[in-house]
Amino acid sequence: MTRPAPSLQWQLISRVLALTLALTVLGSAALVLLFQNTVDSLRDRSLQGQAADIAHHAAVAADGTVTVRLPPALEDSYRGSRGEFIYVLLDADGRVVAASDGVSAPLVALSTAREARLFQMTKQGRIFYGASQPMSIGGRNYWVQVAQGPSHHNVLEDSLLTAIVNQGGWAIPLFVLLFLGLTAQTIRSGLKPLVQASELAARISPTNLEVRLPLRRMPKEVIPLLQAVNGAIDRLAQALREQQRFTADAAHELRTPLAVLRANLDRYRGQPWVPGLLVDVDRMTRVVQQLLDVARLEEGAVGAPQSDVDLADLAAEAAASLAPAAIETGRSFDLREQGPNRVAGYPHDIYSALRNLMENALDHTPAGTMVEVDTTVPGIVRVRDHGPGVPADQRAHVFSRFWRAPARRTLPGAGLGLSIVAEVMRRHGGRVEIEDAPGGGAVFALIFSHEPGA
Amino acid sequence: MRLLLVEDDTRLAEFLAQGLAEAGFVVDTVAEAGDAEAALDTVPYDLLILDLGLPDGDGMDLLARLRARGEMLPILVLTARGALADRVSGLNRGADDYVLKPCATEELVARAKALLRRPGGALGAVLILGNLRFDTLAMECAMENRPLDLSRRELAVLETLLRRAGRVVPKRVLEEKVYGFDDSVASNSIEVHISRLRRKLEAEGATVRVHTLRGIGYMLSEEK
Repeated sequence: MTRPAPSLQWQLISRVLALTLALTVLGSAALVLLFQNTVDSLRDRSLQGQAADIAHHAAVAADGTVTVRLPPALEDSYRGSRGEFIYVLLDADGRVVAASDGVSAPLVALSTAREARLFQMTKQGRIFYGASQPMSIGGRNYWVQVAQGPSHHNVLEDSLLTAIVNQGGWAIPLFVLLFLGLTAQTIRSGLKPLVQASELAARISPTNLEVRLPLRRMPKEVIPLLQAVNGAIDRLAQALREQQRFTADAAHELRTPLAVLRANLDRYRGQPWVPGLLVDVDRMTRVVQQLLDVARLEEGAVGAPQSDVDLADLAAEAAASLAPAAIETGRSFDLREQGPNRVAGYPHDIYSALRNLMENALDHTPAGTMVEVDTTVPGIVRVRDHGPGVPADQRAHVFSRFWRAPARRTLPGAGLGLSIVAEVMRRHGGRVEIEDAPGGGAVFALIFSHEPGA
Repeated sequence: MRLLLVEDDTRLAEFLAQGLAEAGFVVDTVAEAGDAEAALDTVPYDLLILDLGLPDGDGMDLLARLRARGEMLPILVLTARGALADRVSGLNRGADDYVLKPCATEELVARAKALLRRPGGALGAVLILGNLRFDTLAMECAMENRPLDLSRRELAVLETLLRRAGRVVPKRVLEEKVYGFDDSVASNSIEVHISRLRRKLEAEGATVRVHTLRGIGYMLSEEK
């Protein structure tokens, strides 16, 4: 089992997501701390203000008695023994001189130094926050002690929380979502040209080596890779062109000396030694042609396959090219066709296969007989000769390169023809079958796997 | 009849030129496409035999250039390349015929003659095969100076086969040559003409024979 290739996109997204979550948690914690501090300092200031209010509304009579006359709005807050706000006014010695309802003792012990302090106390099971503050009223020193109950404290917290949420706290999760979405989108659009380049690269084959991967709109990081791929295609295309040129050159270089030999022999026509040499030249010519067929097949397919290669047409063409030589040796061709018999494929290769198959049939059919070609069955060409047929134990070998029947080594050819036929059929997704002809002889059937439009 | 042979292999050029000269042609030989163009500019040749693999450029390009500038002379392409590809593209680019190397000099001569259709041309006017002599101007056929009694259409069939003697002529080509656009062709009428022609040739002791290759075409060849 191989691990699936890691996805760059998901690696990036998952890491960005983790980072964002961590930052959100940290940020929220910081916010909570900040919030707590704010609440505390707000409470402290509110306690100080409360103490100042009490001092402000206290009056000292000439006899030293102190009265606290609160305005009605404030007074309501301090009314009732279960009120949220309580206060007590102490003289410099710590004696209670005025207090709110239900308070008869100092809320907290006085410190020895005359300085303000904050405290926390429990009253009737409730937590109160308080402040004890030295104050000067009417020129004399007093202590003002005030405290706030828990519900006021909670109200403060609530209203602060509400304020934060209302003023943008809701934006945090939205921001996180937007951030993630934007990241994913950026990665996806950044990788899109790469996906397109991959699709383009998948279409590169020997038939369209002019395709190059585009560098425009590509992320800078992958451009070296793309340039390397394009360079590789350049070199492949160059190699293929050279190979094709070699084949063409080889054809020329091999055929030209044969042509010289042939033309030279033709000058001595009538001499008794000429016909034998002409047979040799023809044989050599055929082997050269077959070697070139093999070379072209090994180059691979060039050009797109055609969808409408007519087997009847190619068979007639191949038979017509072989017929003059066949007739000279007392053999002939017969083609049974019923109009076009179209398959998809490479016409040159199919032509090579047909010509080689027919040459093979001519080698084996005796003088005075015909090679019979049949293209009446869709997608199939049958070539029949009147020779001895192919023995069952040789059928597996006849398509091997350079193989020749043991008893027939005197025949022309190099044992390449049928291997070319088999290779062409293999490339077309078809096959060659050997059948026995009624009345003797061999039938080779080229069976193409499909018909166009069928 | 003067022809220009463009072939870069000097020995092949020499032997082919010799064979063509023996057949009655006046042959000029050049080895390069540039020289060929220069020669064509100065001499009114009747035929060009063009090798496709030339040292200073592809003969196929020369062919295209010549046709592009309106050169009308018949061109016979001589090539060492593949079978089908060159033939198709060569004919499309304006070659009148195509011979694959190596070829018999005899065949090259026959094809060169077949391409010379100019009225008045000595070689083009009279076609000879075996003991058969066909005057294409007078539309008369004779065997050892005895005129053959052939119908107009049998003469047309024979002329077409003679111009391509030793090669298979598809039935379709015969139909095109023998019938005008207005004639309706019965599917077996070419067979009828061929069969009458064959009978008459045999009766007169012709040394040529019409071969029938069913589904492929017909071929006229000399009996050996």
